[in-house]
Amino acid sequence: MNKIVVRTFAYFIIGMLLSLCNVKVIAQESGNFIKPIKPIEKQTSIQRHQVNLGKVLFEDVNLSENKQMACISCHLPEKGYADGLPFSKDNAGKDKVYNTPSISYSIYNYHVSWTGKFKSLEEHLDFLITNKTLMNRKWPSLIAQLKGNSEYQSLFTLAGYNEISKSTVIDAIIKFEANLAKPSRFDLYLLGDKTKLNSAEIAGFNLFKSAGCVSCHQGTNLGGNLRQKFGVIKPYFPEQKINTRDLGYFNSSGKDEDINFFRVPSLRNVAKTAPYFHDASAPTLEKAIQVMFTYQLGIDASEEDIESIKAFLATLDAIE
Amino acid sequence: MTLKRFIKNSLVVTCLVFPLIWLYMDSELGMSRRAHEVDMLLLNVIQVDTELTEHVLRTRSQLTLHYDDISSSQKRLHNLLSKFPMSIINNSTALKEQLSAIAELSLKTQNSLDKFKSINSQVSQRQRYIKYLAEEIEKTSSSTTSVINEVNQVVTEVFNARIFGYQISESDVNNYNERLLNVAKDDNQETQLLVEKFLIHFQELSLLANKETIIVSNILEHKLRNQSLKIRKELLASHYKELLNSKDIQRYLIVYAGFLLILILFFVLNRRHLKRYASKHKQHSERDELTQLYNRRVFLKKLESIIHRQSGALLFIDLDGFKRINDQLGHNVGDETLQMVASKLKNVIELNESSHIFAEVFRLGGDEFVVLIENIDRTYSTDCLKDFASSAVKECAFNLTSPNDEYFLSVSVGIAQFPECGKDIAELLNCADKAMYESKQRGRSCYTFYHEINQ
Repeated sequence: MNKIVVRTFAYFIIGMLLSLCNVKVIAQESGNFIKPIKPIEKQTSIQRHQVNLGKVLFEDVNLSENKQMACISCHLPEKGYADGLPFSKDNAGKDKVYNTPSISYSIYNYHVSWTGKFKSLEEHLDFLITNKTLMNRKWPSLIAQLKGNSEYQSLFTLAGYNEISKSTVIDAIIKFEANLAKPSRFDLYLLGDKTKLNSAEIAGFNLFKSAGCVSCHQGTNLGGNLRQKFGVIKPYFPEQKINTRDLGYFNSSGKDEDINFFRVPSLRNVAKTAPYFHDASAPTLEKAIQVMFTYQLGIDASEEDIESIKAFLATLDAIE
Repeated sequence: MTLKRFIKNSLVVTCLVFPLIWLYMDSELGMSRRAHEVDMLLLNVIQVDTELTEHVLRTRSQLTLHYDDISSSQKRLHNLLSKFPMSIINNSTALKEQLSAIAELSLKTQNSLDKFKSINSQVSQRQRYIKYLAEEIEKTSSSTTSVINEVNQVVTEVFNARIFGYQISESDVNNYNERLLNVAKDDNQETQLLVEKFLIHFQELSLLANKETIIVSNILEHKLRNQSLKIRKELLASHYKELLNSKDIQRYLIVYAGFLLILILFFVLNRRHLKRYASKHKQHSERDELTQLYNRRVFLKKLESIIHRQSGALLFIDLDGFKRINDQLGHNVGDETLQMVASKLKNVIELNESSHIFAEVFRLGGDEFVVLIENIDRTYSTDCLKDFASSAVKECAFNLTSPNDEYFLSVSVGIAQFPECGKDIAELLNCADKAMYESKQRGRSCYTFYHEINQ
């Protein structure tokens, strides 16, 4: 009899605990679905040696055919891992088609590159290294070269890779890129520290939400997870004179419905990565904000609105 | 170790070994690696498909305001198929075709998801823009409230359609167009321009919303999941065929069947042994070994069971002159004599039994026998008993001749009726005993009723 009572009590306690957990989960969920932007939390487990190896690879000019180009030549740390130029340079020093995007938060992107034709960083890295106008390398020769280098051998061993291969090289570089994603002031604000943003910046955030920027620039990365037409309300590109690059995703898919569709870029670090848009048509942030207001939202924005949004966007810069 | 214990132990061992064999078969042979990998892939695809639909529905009903969940599921789907080790299935073309069908379907799903995301965000953008335009019209409109009312009605309709998930049909859109243009005719130039703009965007919005609904319904068809389930079914069927044909499984089936046979054999043996054992013991405990009559214990039991319910009588039979036979001719002759008397008594019962009477003879011990007579239908008469007793006396009176001497054997019978002589067994037996002594005193080889002594 006594045993039964004790057992029932134990079951009751367990049940109560389980229901508490449920309540906690529900509370977390309900917190999530009204938030258009998810904060980045500080990474807890960093594989230091892998990141270090990735950094070495990222900065090594020997990865390119002509030994003059590394990843870092277009993605400069001081420019927010973009290059500050209207268009990226190829290995002969000529302009390429698109503006160099920042890679500091690329780990959170689903679509990679301006048109979003790559679905993962792995594919994109493979493309960049084997592309004739960029690094122009063949994987076998590159692997052989890395294997011949005793420094790399020790670095790979230290990082815990048991071989030097295409997948491990790519993995190391991606680990380095993932490590670049640092939380910003805005993330701290979202995580609960309300003192991190001043009133002007909060007003900017509210305008960002109410004006409708947030319908595309949402999620962890404030963009990067969908394609959208450039010029939803008003057509942005003049119809008589349209460049091939302005066709966007149409270039890869060949479907009419994809004309002018671009990957929505992330807004993190945006203040550091001028000029803006795929064709660098906006030299300053103000101009970019104004273009977005007119063509994507159909609103004639005032000076104050633009300033307010700009103040908010500045809070998205990574803090060291 | 007795046989029983041995059987018990071997049963336990077999019961333990069986599941082990089964488990081994299930884990080692039940799934070849290839089938297992493909199966896991399909299961994962099914899971992702379910997850995706959930995210899409959530996004559509605006429970989440971001597309990260959809994107992460998309990424998972992409990774699942791109990282699947295709080298495993190189030799099976049918499977390859099916998997490529899955890959194609997943590509389609990915595309429609991409489209869903952009259309969904466009719809919310345009909704906001239409509301903005409505506010502008409200500001510029000269005086008539009818334009503002009409515009607001359209806005409400748009938002309702989104929230409750219905489509605004083309005719409805045209209706709104006409009415609004009619109403706005008299308004100022600026408002008219705004209204035209408003109508264009309204039309586009309704088109987009309809497209979104179509895409969502496409996603809800679960093509990926259905295809995966189909393949899994086929895979399972072919897999079992393969298993049955494989040599390993045949060997294990034989081993398994052998164990099963052994188990059944043990079971049958055990059962037979127990049955024989039980019947032997029963006989030992109920029968008298010498005469094969029921013994004292059975007699008491039987008497107890009927004494309160029925009427009847006890015939207490004692042999006269048995002691002399036993002493002088030896135990062997004595035993034979007893057996003879027993068979004679059985004959007597057979002769005198009728539909009214049921009788049985017991050996109480030594040279004492008891015949228990039950009166079945209560048409009881002492004549019956008298016949019974007299035939018993007649039958059992005989001579034994030996070379030296002649021995005369007879029986004395005492009769006690119940319930007339009491309902207690001891009392009843006592009465019968007394009656028997009375007949001995009367000169042996006769019978006496107990109630006769009392008189």
